[in-house]
Order: sequence, then structure tokens, then C-alpha cells
Amino acid sequence: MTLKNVIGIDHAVVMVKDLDKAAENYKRLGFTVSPRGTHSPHMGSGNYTIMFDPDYMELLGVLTPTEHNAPARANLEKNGEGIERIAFTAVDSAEGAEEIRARGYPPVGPTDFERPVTMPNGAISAAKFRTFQWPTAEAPAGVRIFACQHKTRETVWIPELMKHANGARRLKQVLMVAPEPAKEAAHLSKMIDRETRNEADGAVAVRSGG
Amino acid sequence: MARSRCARAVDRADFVFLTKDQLGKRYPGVSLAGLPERGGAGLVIVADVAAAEKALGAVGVKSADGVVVPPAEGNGTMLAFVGA
Repeated sequence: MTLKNVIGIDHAVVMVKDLDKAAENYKRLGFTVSPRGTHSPHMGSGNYTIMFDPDYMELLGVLTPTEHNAPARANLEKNGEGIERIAFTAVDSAEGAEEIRARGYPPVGPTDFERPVTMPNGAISAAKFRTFQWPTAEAPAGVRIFACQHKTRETVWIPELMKHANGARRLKQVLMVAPEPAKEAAHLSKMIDRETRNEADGAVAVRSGG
Repeated sequence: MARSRCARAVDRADFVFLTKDQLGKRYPGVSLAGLPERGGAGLVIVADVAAAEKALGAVGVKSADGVVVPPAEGNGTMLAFVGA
């Protein structure tokens, strides 16, 4: 049975070495990039978001090494910059965590965190999240999977941040390379209770949403 | 904006797993230099392709009915802009 609290890809996390330089690069590519955010201290990370509808990209960098960001640092060291994690939208992270536990995946979390947000009118607000992760070792094609419940969508999906000179509107596909695509797709399929679909060129797709 | 305030399950991206060779065949002319053999490779983004071509300039490579930013230009992430 499909997970009730996990409703599709929410955002793609692109791990970068130099956060500010990466943001400048994405601006050159025609994206509107949010002001820089700083996560809660235990996370030790900062981000820039590139907002679409209903999803987004996140440029993520380590500002201070912590236990929490050790897997991300290890991945960056091993594979270099690129997509390191994919987040699903969680309707309710506490209930979602219990759903995956019932399927044999002990969840990491749920964990609450937030980052300050400067709104277009200059007011300081906060973006608040509650996330849970599948076990770190459960990483199809080496990409970690987690789910994010947005508690303050209005401070994340800000209209001024959703218009891009390059015309970007939303994510259509997340491309994952692997020597054995069918095996990796089956792995993800089992994790999120979604069927796989074979494509003509040998690729295998897994639908994430409704 | 109101449309975005409630999480919804429609219009969500799919995962596509493929070999690096298959990825190269899907996007001919795009250098995949720097991509690992196993890992996150890129994003296909629904966009106004004409606007993308204009914004990307020389960085964009016309390929597979869209315009593509090679991973070396996208901080390790290939970005393929396609029509709706």
C-alpha cells in the first residue's frame, strides 16, 4: 500500500563545496536564487533555494563540520559536487516515520529545525521543517532519501523567488546513474511503495507522486 | 501563490535510473565529464525552452528537444530544460 504521508519529490539537494560561489553560478544560469539561509546549529549547514512549483532545488554547503553533516561531507569528498539527497514532501513527518518503520525501515527522526528568512518586505520570519529519513544505508544509486514536512510554506514558496529568467517552472525528472539501474530502481520502489516502469532505452523509472 | 500553500501530490517529478552510457545517448553532445558512475546525475526541468536558451547563452547545449547545462557547469548536476 502506498505511503500516505509521502506524496512525491519535494526538492533535490545539490551538495556544493563553496556555497556562495555556487549561488553565483546558478544566478548566471538564469535562476532566481533565494537569500542565503543558515540551518540550526546542530546541522552546521547553509543553503540557497531555487523555488519552483510545487518543488525546488536546494544548494547546500557545510559551514561548520558536525556529526549531523558527516555523511554529506563524506559524500562530497568521495563523489564531488552534485545531487546528494532527494526529499519527498511529508504530509506529517511523525506519521510518515511510523509508516516506514512498519515497513522495516527504522526512521532517523522526525527532527525539527528551522532557518531565518528575510521576507520581500524586509520582515524577518522563519522557515520551519520537520523531517525524517530512511536509514542512511538505504540510498538508491548512492543518493539518500528523506521526507520534509513544511510547517511554514509561505516562507519558502515566496512568489518573487519563483520567477526565473531561464523559464524554469518545475522538476520533471531526477536522473540517477548506476551500473545496474533496475536493481537501484527496485530498491527505491520498495522503500516508497511505488511501481517501476521500464523505458525503451533500458532506463527504469519510478513515479514519485500521484 | 495560494496554489502552493497546500502540499499536493500532482505534478511531481519521477526518478529515472539509467547507466551513464544511456544518459549520454539521451543527451547527445553533452559532456558528462565529472559525473560518477553511480550517483545523482541531473535534473530535467520543465521550462520555457526559448527563455532557457537565451538565459544560458553559450553554456547551454541544444540536445534532446531542449537545452542542457553539462554537469561541469552546474556544480556536478546536469540540468536539462524541456518544454511542458
